[in-house]
Amino acid sequence: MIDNLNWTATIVFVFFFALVTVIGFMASHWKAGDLNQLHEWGLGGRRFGPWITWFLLGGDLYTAYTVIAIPALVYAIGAYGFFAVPYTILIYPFLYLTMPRLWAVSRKHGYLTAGDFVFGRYGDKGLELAVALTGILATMPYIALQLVGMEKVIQALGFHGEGYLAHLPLTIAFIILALYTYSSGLRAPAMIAFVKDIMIYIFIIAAVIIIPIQLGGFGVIFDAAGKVYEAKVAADPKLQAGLILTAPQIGPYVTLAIGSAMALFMYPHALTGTLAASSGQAIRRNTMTLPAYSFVLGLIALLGIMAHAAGVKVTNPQDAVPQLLLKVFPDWFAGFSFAAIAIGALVPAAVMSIGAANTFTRNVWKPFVNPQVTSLGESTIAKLVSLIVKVGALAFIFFVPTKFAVDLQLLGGVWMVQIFPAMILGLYTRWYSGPALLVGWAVGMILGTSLSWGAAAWISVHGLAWDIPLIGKFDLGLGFAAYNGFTAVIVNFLVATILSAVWKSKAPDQTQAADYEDEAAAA
Amino acid sequence: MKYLLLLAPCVLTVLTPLYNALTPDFLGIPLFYWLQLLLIPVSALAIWAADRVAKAQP
Repeated sequence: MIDNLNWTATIVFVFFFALVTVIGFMASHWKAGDLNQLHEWGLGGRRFGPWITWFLLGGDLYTAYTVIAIPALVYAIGAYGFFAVPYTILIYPFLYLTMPRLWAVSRKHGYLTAGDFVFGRYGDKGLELAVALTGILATMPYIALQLVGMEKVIQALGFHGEGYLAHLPLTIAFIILALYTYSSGLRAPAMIAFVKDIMIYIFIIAAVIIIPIQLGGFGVIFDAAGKVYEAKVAADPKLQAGLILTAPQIGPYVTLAIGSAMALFMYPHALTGTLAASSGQAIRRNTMTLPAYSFVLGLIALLGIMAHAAGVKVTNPQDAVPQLLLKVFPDWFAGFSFAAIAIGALVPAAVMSIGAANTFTRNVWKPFVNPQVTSLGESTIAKLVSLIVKVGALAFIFFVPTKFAVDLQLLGGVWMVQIFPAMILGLYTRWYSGPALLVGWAVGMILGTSLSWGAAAWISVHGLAWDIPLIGKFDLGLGFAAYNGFTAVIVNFLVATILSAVWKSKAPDQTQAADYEDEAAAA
Repeated sequence: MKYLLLLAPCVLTVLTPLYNALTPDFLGIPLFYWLQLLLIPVSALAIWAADRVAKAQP
């Protein structure tokens, strides 16, 4: 198993891993609070100021899977993989306007999750459950994929095992993660995020300086990559690939960016990171400073291009970045970079499992199983659920092909967009009714899923022409295809609007208009 | 005004056909890549400016 191990890289890797493990366990004493209270364990006591929030959200949003998968897409087909950049540009103005409102109303009423807010606003248990289950369903494959990212770098260190033994290092890492998340809650990934984010910035900045110097400049790099894409298209004329987008890729590119932006902050882990902030102003400041991570993400995407120029030839595009780093960096720095990526899996995996646990405890267990659950009971259940979720993700890696996790995550994104209307409209108006939003959600889920059911595989885009059963062909006449999440949420929104006009709800609204203003906005 | 500042970079970003090209390049980086990368700090600045405007209003 360890015959081909790159010892230098591995020793550096293990050192940094051990470092964050110690930090993870010590975190429970940081900004000390009663970790038997769910808001302390699950939201860090809502005490994370702008800097901590920056490290946490950055570490949470820019994950190991992102570092592996985005360049993998660029390596495979070029410009289309860059969608991650416009997607992140679109997010921050939107967050600036909406998240302080959600933070303010959540702080006022003790909401910890999307489901909490939706129930408080609309008084509809069905909608609350729908929002919660969507979040949990979409998060599960995402955690599994972090493990895939971690395993890619472990393999690149030279560790090869047979059968289940191949997953041994991953299992050890995950058990350790599970232990300190159990004891420290959100404080653990928040502290670890400091280390991880600094490491990622270091190795990416080094890469974009060193690699162009080594290869002779960006012009040479892009030319070389361009030739690779041309060869690919020559071999397979149906393939859409290139240094810039092909005409059929433009509609999908734009709608994928928009749809992904709409979905991102609906995920439990993104909301968890946001609601843990100490003020609305901390969130606003972060919308100006988190774009630094977007820039790094753009550079990470370029690694896919650089891999071609450096002569990296791999059959699985996900191996492109690890192999590139091994090729251009000395062993010890490759080990450092791999550690950054692997730790980059731990932070989001921890926050995702905490977010899913918060959601299950508050919006599934409490309303439907035990409404009398105590504060201690809540945090106990959440801790257990976060363990179960991690074990489940590990089981996924052991028993399910990676392709399935990738497909599920793709669907998860489509599903996650569908709670956007309920959440975001709710921050501004009560005109919509809970049941109408629930129907809209259901329509969006069904439509999004069925659009993604391609002939041979799950697909993320679909032409804007449909065969509606019993009615016939419906063609919007627009020549392009769109991201299924985007198409589905438009229909979702229309359905919810039409139904809300006729189906008024008398359910109580716990909130008042003033609750959505934080002090800075009111000042 | 605040909303205009927040919206402007977003509008530019989704007008992909405008920047889906190789030239003019910057240090060998095609337009498609450097423009989108540049839009990132531009949008961060726009948010900062919008925040200033919002704070200046009573």
